[in-house]
Amino acid sequence: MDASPLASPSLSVVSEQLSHTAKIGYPVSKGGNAQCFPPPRNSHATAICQDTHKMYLYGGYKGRHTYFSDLWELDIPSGLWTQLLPQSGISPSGRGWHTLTLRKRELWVIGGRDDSFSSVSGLVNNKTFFQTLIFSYFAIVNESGCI
Amino acid sequence: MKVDVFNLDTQRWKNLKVSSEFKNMVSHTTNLYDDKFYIYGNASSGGVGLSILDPTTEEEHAGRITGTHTKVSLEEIPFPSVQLHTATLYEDTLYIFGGSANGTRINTLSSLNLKTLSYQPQVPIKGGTPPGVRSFHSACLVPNIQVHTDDPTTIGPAIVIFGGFFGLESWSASYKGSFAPLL
Repeated sequence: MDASPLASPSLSVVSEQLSHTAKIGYPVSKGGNAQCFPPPRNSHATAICQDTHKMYLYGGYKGRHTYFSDLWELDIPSGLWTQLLPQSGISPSGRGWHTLTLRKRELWVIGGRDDSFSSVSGLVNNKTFFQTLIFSYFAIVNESGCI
Repeated sequence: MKVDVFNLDTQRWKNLKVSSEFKNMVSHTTNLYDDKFYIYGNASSGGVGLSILDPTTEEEHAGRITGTHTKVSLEEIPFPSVQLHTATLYEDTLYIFGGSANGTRINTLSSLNLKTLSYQPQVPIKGGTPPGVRSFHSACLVPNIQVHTDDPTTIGPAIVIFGGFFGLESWSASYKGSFAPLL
């Protein structure tokens, strides 16, 4: 499958009434006109934290056999996106067709395809990677959610 | 299987080393039940089924985040091949809908009791018209809610299935599958 990303990023919400949908617009930063939101993608994964009303987004298919490796946080009440950026270290490889699951205060990214997939299987199954330790440090950049 | 974990408090990633027995999956589903990850779908090796990933490790108990030698208990159980499906957890049961099975899109609703690990290939539908065959769709569980129609009724708990893909056509309709007829 070689799906292309959407022409523009969008997020739709289906309300509990099941009769109303709303598209969340692109938030504008507090300090300027810059807009901050995830680039268009598909085959990504999201997870919800019901306690904090935040949604998390990781990875996704960028197109042309490349994948996003970014982690985003959406504050659902305000509609503000914040990218969780690494201050040092290496972030996990780009990923698509994976899952993202919240367990306590941890986001688990499980499986999927990555940038290094072979043309044969196209799957993440690289033993070298399993033997490689990857540490990354992420921090929320600022309150406005803009980078 | 590649597993990466981001801790929201410490704000850092760790990469887990998991057993080579744990085959990688793509277009699978993951549900957290009884503090374990139930991962359902096709594996890269061609194997299919359910993998249970127990995240509780000695390293985590000790408060260490090393990313090395994380102990993962794994149990693989043979189940029909499916991917690009959805899996919705309701009480102790996983309801698996649609997806692609052996290259064919399906609209089967199957169930898997995670407590007993008993599998029901096709949940009998006692009313209504199920959604058509599809993959790349979404499904979520909704509690008891009132539907605002000409004849307001309360449904739920229910599975709401949205969108999906069939050939060249993408769906945009929502389907509500109440659990009531299933229980």
